[in-house]
Amino acid sequence: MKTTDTPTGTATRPPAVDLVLSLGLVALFATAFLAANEWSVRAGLFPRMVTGLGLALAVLHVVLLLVRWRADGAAEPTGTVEADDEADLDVEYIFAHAGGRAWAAALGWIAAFFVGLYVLGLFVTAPLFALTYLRFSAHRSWTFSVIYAVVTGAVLYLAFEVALRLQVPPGLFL
Amino acid sequence: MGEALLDSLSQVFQLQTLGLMLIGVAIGFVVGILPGLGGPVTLALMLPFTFSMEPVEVFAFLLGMLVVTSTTGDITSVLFGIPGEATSAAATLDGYPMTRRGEGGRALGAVLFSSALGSVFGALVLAASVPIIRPVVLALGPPEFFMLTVVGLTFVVALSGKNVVKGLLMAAAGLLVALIGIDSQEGIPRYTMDQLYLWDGIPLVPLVVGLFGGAEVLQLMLSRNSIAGTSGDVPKRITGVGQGIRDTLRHWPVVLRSSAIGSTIGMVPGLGGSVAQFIAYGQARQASKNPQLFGKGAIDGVIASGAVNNAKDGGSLVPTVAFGIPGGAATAVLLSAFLIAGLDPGPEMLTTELDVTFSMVWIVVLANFVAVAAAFALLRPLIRLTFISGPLLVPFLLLLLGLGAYSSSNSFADVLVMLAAAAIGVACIRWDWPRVPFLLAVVLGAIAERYLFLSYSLFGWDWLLRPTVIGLVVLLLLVFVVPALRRRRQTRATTATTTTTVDEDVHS
Repeated sequence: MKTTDTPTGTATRPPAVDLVLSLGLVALFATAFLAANEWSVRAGLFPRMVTGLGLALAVLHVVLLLVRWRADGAAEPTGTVEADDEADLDVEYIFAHAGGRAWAAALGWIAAFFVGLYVLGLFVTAPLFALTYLRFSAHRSWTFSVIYAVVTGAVLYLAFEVALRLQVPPGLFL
Repeated sequence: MGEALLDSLSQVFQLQTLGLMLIGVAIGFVVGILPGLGGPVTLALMLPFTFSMEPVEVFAFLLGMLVVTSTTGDITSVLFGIPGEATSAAATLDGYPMTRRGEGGRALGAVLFSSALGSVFGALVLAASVPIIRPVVLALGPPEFFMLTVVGLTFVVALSGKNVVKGLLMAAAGLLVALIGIDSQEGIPRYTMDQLYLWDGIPLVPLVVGLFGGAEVLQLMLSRNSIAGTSGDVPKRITGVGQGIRDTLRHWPVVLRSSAIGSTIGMVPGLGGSVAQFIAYGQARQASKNPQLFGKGAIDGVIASGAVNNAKDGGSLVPTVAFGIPGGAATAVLLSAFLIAGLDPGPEMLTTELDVTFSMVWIVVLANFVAVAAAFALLRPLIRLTFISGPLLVPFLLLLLGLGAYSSSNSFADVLVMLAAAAIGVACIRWDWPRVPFLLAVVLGAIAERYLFLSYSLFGWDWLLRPTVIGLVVLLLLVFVVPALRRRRQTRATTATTTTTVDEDVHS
């Protein structure tokens, strides 16, 4: 199991991402708190409690981040690993070390899949995506990619249209 | 109670329920063997398929799948030194050294058989806890349940050990998401931004699917490896399984102690299997006649790892069922299944829906025995699954994400919710913000508000003075104060040690 490369006590850069996220949460909770104040007690009691607490915590987090950074240059204290998120460490390592090109390619393929799902529907997008992704991203042979795509399309059609009769994304043209 | 126990058994043995459990077991088996694909992720991806199922069928399918991932996760731990699940890490410590000296079959026999015994122990704990917990749960009112919800949420945040403020912030964000929609008291649209779609609130299924599944697909696309990475080849022969089973029977005190540790720690929200496995491993080492063998291939270390892993599942179901407080990521997703199946965790699960609760006991035991039998029979062909290339799974998993989200209400807006949740999940992992408190808060938000409203309507603010509520507030404070004090003491000790070392270096 890999370890995270969370900044250690020697880091001197400000914890920029955490600061931006926390300031975003400050803005979010403040807006939500103001909105909750316009509602009656019955409808607004719980929202006021939640957003008030959230706002206080977000401000506290911003202050803590700045104080720690100024005190010893540490961006974030490293605690023990969260019990059930231990598997996240490997994923975090991959996310942190994948290059910009790999990120762009992965997000591009995901965007293409969901745009295809919206425009062309499931029965066209699924085999088409399988074919192009396996051929051009996974560099599989044409034969393998075509077989995978045909099987995917056939299984989807038989399972969702013939057997289960479930509604699937139809696309814009149907 | 005995009637409910038998009734639940007959429900589990219905052909359709049994069939769904076997499908769940098969999926769990594959997922457990594939390192990288975790139980909570698969559970999330399978949630949409449970819409038309009866409650017992839902749990036969989902719980059958979940408990089996713990069992089969040990297989790759023993054979390759790569845990199939995060909770199977301890099995690598002695299981893999045994494989390297040609005793892989013996280690597998021990870890799988002790897993099965551990699951029986955990299931017994779940069944035995019902008559004990039922009067407690029935004596509690809305104020106590509101406080229990808050305590459960903070337990998960505080005991997780990560940055507590981040965890609390994520929980607050989750509660904010849970508030979106028409208010049930006065019919006021809250945080709906004039979007009709948001009047019904954020749908749970696309959110769970995106939060857990999205990051998994993206990491497979980015890593592009076979799931088992560059591990060694499948061992040519796997023999000695029978000896491993005999070893387990011989070391029955280790099985019992590890199972007790697993089911007890499983009950504490926020700790879970990753912690329990190492505590059980540690006690096995302390109690062993040959502690020097631990880490080099001690059979009792393997047995402890197997037993604790599965006993914790039964234990973690106790607070989930009785109080609606899940112990970790997997039970948080499972809690979503309760709501989808139209079940309310709490008193209802111990009275009118007692047969559903007892069906979980049978499912945990049955699913594990089926999985262990299948593991012994199909070990070698199943291990080959580990070498499936990650990119091959991408089109299939993306399909599951899209279909899972869309089938929630046949609306493409659900797919957008799933994509937004996936972005949140990826950001959480990338910048080390915990996802579990967020999901838990989304699930518990509506329940907490309902109990708060009932408490306020029935007692005004006097409910805050009820003894149990005060006790729970004290517990809440202790949850934060005790770990903070402990951390402070550790920091002081570390500083003192460092200063001493520096002084010694200077003087020498």
